[in-house]
Amino acid sequence: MAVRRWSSTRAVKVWLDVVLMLGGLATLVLLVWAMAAPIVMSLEEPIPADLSVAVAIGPHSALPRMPLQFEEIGDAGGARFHRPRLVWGYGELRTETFSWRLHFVGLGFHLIALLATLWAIWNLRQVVKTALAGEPFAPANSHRLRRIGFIILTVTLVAPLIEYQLGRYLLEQLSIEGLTLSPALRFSKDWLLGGLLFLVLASIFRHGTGLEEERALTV
Amino acid sequence: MAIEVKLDLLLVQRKMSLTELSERVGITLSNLSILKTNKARAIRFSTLAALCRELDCQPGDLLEHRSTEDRF
Repeated sequence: MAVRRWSSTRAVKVWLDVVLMLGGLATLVLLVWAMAAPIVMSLEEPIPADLSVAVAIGPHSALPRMPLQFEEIGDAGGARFHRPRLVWGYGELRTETFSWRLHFVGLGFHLIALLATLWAIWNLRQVVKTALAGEPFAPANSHRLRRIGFIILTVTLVAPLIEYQLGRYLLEQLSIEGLTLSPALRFSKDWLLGGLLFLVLASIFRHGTGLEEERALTV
Repeated sequence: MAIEVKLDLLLVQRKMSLTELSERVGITLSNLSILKTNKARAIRFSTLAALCRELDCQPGDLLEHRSTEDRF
């Protein structure tokens, strides 16, 4: 019986398989709920659904800062403090809604982001699979890596804009005493960098594929 | 490709099969096939020397330069 040698690449592939399986399951659950939501939420005794959006604490969406009221309680070794402000305060506003349409917008947004992420993971799995087969510089891999980069960049740039619109709508409907909240507009620097790195990796792979082809056709 | 490999012509002249040449030169049949069908991007000097030795020819007999206009 052939014994499969375990390597870090194989471990990554198994991990990606598990992530894909769980992601597929989550997508299925979301789809079933999306179909059931209109019925469940329009029952005689309707069940509310969760709706959560990212919010910024303070009057600004991109650079939130909020002045705080305070009392000086002591002299800290001669140091005096004044004008305290809460900066970069972000949170998640969770509400319950009986409007399945509104719930559907939030759900649809998460579903599309999830499907795009699964597509990127699927592409990454295919790249790892070719690496396991000993052909990492297959011509399709540079396309796959480029696709992953664009998926990450698109989700990273578009998702906050949609969430901002959803947050704006939600905050227009709500009045919260003693707290100023704004719809959050926050782009993840890490994911942007990740997407760009995949594009760089794709161009390196394109070059590598050319070299590999050159090597294969050298007699 | 501007350089054309005339391996098939030399094989006919020497009454030798590609398999026989492959065994004598020590190059895989698939690599020789790449060479014969003009798909090769490059040829090593060692390969060229071995081919010339077994086919009893000069590199110029094996390779021919053709300008792109010759094709039309």
